[in-house]
Amino acid sequence: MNGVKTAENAPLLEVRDLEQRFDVSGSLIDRLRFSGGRVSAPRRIVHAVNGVSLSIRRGEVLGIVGESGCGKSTLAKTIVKLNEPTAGQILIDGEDITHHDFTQMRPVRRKMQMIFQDPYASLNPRQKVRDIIMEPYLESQGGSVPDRTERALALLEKVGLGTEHLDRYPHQFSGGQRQRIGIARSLSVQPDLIIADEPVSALDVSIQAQILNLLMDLKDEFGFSYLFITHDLSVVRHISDRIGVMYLGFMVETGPTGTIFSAPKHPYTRALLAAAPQLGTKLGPATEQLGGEVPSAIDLPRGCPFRQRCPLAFARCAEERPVLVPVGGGQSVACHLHEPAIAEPAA
Amino acid sequence: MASSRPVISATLRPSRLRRFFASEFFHNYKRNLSAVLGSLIVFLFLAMVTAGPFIVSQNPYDVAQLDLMAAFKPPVWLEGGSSEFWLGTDGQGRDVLASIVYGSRISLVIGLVAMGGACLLGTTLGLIAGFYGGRLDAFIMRIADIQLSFPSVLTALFLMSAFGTGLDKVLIALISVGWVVYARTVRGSTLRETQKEYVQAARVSGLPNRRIILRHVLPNVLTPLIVVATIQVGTFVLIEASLSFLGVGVPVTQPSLGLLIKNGFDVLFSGLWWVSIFPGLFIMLLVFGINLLGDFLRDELNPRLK
Repeated sequence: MNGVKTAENAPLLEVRDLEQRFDVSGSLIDRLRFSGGRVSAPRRIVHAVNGVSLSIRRGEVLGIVGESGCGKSTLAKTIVKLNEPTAGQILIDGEDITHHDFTQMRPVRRKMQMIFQDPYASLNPRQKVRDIIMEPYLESQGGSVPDRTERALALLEKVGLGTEHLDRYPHQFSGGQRQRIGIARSLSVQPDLIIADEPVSALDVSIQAQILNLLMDLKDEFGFSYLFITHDLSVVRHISDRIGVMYLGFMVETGPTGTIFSAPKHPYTRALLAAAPQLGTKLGPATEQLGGEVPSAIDLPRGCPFRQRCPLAFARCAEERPVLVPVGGGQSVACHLHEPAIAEPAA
Repeated sequence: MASSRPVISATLRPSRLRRFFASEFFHNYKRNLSAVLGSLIVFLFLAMVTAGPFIVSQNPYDVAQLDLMAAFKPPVWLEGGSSEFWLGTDGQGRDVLASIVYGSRISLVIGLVAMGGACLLGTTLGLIAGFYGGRLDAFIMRIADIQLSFPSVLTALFLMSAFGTGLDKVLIALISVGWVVYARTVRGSTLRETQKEYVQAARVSGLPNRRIILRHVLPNVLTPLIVVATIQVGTFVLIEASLSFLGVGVPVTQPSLGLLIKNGFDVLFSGLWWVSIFPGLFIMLLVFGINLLGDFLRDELNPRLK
């Protein structure tokens, strides 16, 4: 591993109370509203990520699951600073990068790389494979042309592509091969952390397994960590050490993979697991199936974000927003039902 | 590791030219009569303006070579025509054909240089507007909108009357009329491209904005410009001709095709039609050829029309 090691058990990535809001109100003219004889210009703010905290140790895989639109991709993009975070803190190796500008980010980019969702959009169609996969390396270390060629060939081999592909263009590859090229690119600077944003969801199921196994093999070989974003429970179960469940931009439950799957606490996690089809088992009881729609991220509900769809909601859920509290065994839940202070809810 | 380097054999790989002749593009070109005709016209014009001056008997702007006695001779096939002047002569005894050869050179050079300048300016502004967005974008595109709301000849006329005439002024006028098309096209493609994940990947790799624009966005927004640029050479030749005809174009010492028309226009109705009709026909032919070529390129390079 490159770089100086800080304290052994300091987390590689730590995110504290991260918030990401986007103003989608457009220009003043678009915002103007006329109602009841009064003119107003309300802003429309999307609350994509709301006070998410997480940490990843070296060599650990943290899976983030949630429905489409729950803010998990935004979370990933904010952590690599593709978005400017609205509030909260992001620490890499104990270094606070929340407000790092472009030049300050340069050394950090060597520690943190990203794998993208769409293997078709994530490779520049006008670049050769050698230039695509060596771009992060070229930017951070430079290196001579023969040096880069040698590294590119080694990377292609690592991701299971033949060396004859070096001077080809992306359109000459299949989706799975393209994703391997994207993985090679993220490996070129030998990062400590790879943020994988739905890396297999655009691929055929038969290819998914190959890519997942490749990701696991590479992790075992290089010892880096993953922040693994996905909506697919079977994928997250296969690959993660720990899991975080997101709903409407909130982290509602975290814990070790085994615990989350065997003893989910949050009603949303339970519904999510029950909704996943499994061979040989019938669908969960009807009470675990969710009705209703995910509320708008522009007008967040008061209190618990999940209460409108929660079969177990009670009065307090509408009043007060639950926070993530540890419930033992490394598991944490943001639900009033599981707060130690009120183990016995009213009614 | 070094042993795993691939052996790319130069002999096994077909040459660039060979690959071009085998391409779908060339295949479609061969079967498209108007494309072949258009490129033939353009090619002949290019040949004429490069080799022509060495072939024609007379340099029409070298006063020593002119003979006033030979003024207003009709084309060779009419009565009184001379085999020395195939398309006749003008009031100063200039060979019309020789004037056309020299005039086409000026017209084409103006068209090409102005297209290059407009393309450079418009592409740069379009990239900046599309990539950075916000107020800069609004500012650039509003200027473009204002520019578009004036007829291009009027804008050029206004600029020429403000800055005076001359070859450089004509170029400035044409560029300031022509950059808008590029800016709009490039801005649109840039907006689309910057949404794609490969641009985000470049950001994560730590590329500065300038290099993202040059290395990633620019190569992906250029294709539609080839069509715009081709057609624009024709448009510029026409605008320049209009300006010269109106008397605010190129100086009389560097006459373009448009100026030739103007020179012959005064005597057009006294039966001496050849002095301005022939330059006019050549402009028409040139623009026609360019447009045929442009139409073919548009059909070929636009994936949605395929």
